[in-house]
Amino acid sequence: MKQSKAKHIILVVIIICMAIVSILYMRNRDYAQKNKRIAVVYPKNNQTMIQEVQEGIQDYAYDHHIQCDIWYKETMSSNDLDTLVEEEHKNQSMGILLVYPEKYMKKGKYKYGHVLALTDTMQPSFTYSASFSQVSDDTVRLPVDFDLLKEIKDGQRNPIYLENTYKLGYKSMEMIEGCVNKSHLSNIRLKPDKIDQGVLEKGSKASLFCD
Amino acid sequence: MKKIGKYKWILLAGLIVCLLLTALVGIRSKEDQYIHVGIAVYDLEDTFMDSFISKLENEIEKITTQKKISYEICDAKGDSRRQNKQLQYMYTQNYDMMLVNLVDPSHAASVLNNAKESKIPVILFNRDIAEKDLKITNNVWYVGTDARKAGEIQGEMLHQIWNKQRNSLDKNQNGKLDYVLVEGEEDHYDTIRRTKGFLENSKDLPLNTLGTLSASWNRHLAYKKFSQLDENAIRNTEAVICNNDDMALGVYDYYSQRHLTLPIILGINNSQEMNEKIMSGEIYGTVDNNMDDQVYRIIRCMKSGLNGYPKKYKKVWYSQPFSVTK
Repeated sequence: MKQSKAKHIILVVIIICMAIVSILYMRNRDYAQKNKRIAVVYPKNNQTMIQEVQEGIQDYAYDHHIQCDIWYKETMSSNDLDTLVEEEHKNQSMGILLVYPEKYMKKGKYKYGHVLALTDTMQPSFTYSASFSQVSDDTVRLPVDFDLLKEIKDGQRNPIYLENTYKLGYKSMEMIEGCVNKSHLSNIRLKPDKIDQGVLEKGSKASLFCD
Repeated sequence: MKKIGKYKWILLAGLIVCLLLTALVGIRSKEDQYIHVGIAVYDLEDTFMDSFISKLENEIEKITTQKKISYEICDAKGDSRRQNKQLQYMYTQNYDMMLVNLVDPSHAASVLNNAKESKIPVILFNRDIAEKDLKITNNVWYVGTDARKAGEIQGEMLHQIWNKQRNSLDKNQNGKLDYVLVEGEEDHYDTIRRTKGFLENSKDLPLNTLGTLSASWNRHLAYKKFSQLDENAIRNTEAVICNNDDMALGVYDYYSQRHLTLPIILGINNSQEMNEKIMSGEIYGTVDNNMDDQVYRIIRCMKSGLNGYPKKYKKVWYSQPFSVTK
């Protein structure tokens, strides 16, 4: 009789423990779903350089209900990045997006599963990076000078290739959010858009140039 | 008996696993580890705002609170539509505080209503708004400068130089002070107040207006519009009064590029470049809007709001401007 009572008590305790674990797990999952969070690091005092990328990041965050932890850095060492990764993990961030780390980090080997570097020159330093694929012809970035477009439209100038930094920012956020339950990210290589007379006459890229 | 002992050990192990799992699940905090602040700026190409925001950033980074402060700067580049979009994003970011420098101060009511709905306290700065808008929510403060006073100081400076150097200043010897007024954005509160302050404090002077230009606080536009003035007017200009330093520097560019003798130029803000030109004797003077005081006030107000004492500071605060000459 005594043995049976002890068995029952232990069973009840275990069931309660399991219930607590389940509730905590569910609460944690709900919180993570409701508070999707991505950390973004920008170079300090480089607002003009980051403007279009930032708009892409903000639009993605707005469209997908993502909270952003934003940091501006003048310099960031390997240790600083370690600390940031640790702190952001505690804050339930899905990942960290380093925007133009060449402005605040030295070249090196930074191997992290959930860190994506949006960069022009530091692709080899990171496991995962977002950048434009190289083209041999003239490439420009947003915002594009209106006079330049007019020259192309009037046939006075050869086509240009446009590196859409807005899209790169947007895609980088998409990559981090998409990999929340996966062990690693992937690289992003965007091909610059060709802007020629035909494209401008059709107006298919018009939205890119609206200020 | 032996069977039950074994069973107990299994159950005990199960219990420990459960407890470990609980600890592991609970290890990631469910509370945001940071304080989040959004900063909306009307235009970082405005040199005054650029310096202002750099100073503000440095001061925010110095704040020591239990939680780290994560802040984001949104530059509207002088475009009201762009700022509205940035503000829409900001309302969804669960900010603990928003610092807003409006492109269009007439949008203040809409911004404050949205912030109220999102329960975000707001500190408006640098772009003066209508007093009635500040009544929309308790959690709003305005930090700026006394625009009218800045205009009045320009008037005082002009008085001083006219009284001291009347003969050399009145180049065409018509007994009048021929001047051009370069204003900021039309209908902008600061434009209206600065101009009004200047005009009211210069009533005693024999002023002769050669032209009034509106250059939207912008150096290149001031240069362009000034160069479009009638040649005779430019030749006779003895003083140029500008609503800010950037526009004053635009006028300076016009004269220096043509190697013409500079008239008396007065600006407002005491930007670094303006200050250097004043100290080198090329430009007569400007009005310092006391940027440091404004930044410190924002920081104090922000800290108080974040610490849960929102009523500690007055809703409206103006820094006291002062004149800067060589």
